[in-house]
Amino acid sequence: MLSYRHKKLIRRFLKGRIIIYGCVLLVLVVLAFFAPYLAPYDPIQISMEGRKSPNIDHIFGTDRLGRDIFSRVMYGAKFSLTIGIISVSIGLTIGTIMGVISAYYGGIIDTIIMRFIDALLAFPGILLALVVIAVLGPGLINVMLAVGISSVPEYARLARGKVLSVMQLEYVEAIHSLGGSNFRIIVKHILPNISAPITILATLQVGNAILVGSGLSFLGMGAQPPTPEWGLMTAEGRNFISQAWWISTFPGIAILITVISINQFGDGLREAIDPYLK
Amino acid sequence: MLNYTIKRIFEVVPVLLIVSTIVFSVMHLLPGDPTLLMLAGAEGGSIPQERLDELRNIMGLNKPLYEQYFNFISNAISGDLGTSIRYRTPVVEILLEKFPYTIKLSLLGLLVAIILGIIFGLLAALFRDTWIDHLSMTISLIGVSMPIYWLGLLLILVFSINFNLLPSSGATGFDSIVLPALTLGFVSAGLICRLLRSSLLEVLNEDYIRTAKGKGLTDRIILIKHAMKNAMIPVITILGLQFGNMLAGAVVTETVFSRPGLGRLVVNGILWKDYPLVQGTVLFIAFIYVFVNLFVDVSYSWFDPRIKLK
Repeated sequence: MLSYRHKKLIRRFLKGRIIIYGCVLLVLVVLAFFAPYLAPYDPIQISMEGRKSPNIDHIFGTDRLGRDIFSRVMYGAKFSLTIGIISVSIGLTIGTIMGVISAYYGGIIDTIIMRFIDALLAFPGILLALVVIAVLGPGLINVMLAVGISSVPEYARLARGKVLSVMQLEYVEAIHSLGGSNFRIIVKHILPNISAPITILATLQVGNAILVGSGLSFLGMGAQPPTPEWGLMTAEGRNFISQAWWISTFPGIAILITVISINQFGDGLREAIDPYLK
Repeated sequence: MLNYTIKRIFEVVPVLLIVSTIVFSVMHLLPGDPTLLMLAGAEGGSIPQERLDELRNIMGLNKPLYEQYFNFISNAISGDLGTSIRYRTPVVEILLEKFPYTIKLSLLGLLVAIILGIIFGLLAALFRDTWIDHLSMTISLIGVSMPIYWLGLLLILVFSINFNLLPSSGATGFDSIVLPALTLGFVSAGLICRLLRSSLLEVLNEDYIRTAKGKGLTDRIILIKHAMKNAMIPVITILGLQFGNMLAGAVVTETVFSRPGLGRLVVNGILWKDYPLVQGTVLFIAFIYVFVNLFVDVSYSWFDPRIKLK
């Protein structure tokens, strides 16, 4: 039997936008996994039919190589979600480790790490990701690394701030005096206490990572042809925008819907976890 | 005020030094010989050994690492950012030629963001929980979730191709900057709108607003003379950050609209493997961003005197 408190908590999570946008995200995840079974056409197979506007056979039309845009958009969900999740995982892991070490050990370690983080923040937006791409070279995996590294400062700053406030609590002092090792204190007592805000930030960052990642592909730094990645597909339609609006438009709508869903889901999650933030 | 300014300037020095070190290490972290990569990118075909040695010599890449680092920093301080492999001209000259295009676009984009953000934020707060509020919030949500390059293409489709009102590319005349500035500004406008709405709703609940109402002032005067001043403080705080977003957004916008500028230089530099050009441009953008933030921080303490007391 669930207690009143648990029921209230579950009710908070099952409210409005978490459900609606959660369903949209579920559809995207299904597409990401099952596109090969659901897509009506092969996303890479070139057809002699050439470019066609949306019609009954190709509801999103075809590109200049006769490839079905609808199938390519379906396959594209896998790439965008992978970029979002992997790059956020990279940023979250490195950033949290840096933030926790910085706050826990303090002193010169804190100063060095935080000055380095400040320097990373001096590269606005996509620029840090471009610096990483300049070193690693273009490619989908490198884009994930680049976007991940460029989000490190945000996690590091958040983790540092949260650890500093957790360390003020008496129980941490008590474990110290009981002789608990630093590693044990960090892993067993500090990390669980800072995980909620970091999870919220990570959820909200997935949308941003998809935007930056697809932007890099648009610039030719990420996925390479014939990959059905949404940013790259938008770039491929750019030169034909006056004759074939559908080539760029549908992948763009797919990115917009995905990012809106993730942002709204993240906002809902934040409100459910901490109703005072409303 | 002066002490605070001096303190902030001193805080910026180590940051700039680390930024320079990160930019310096770009060429040294490359997988393989940077001279070979650069010449293959610029000239193609097989590269004779003499050409490689010549470039290595010119760029000082055969010197010990610490000496290269020292030279890089001291040259950067004296305004020498090396020579572009592709253009065969000093990077600083190229930067100075392209900088006006980017700064014009960034400032106009920021203006668009502020105007749209304030209009929608104000409407949303004034008509809270009505359809106007919901519409403003939906537009701002679309703004922050939209891929900037896609918005650019949509604007080209509507205003350049369908209505033939504005040019879709180039950088001649004022009309050529309208669509890029709208593209750049719309994304940040969403953020400003959300921030202003929540800040205004908070301010409207303050005691001094109730006092103003009690005095019999009209809603319009309360809003403009009393509420907006304080509600704008968080918006002003993020202007430095937004300017950074404009510089970063210019990377994509300049490519979409085929405009010259610093953003396109970075992208082309990476594609051409012209590392001195990439290093110089990235360093230049980062320095501008750091100094703009420094300026915003210092001027913010002037706007909000409580900062000085701290």
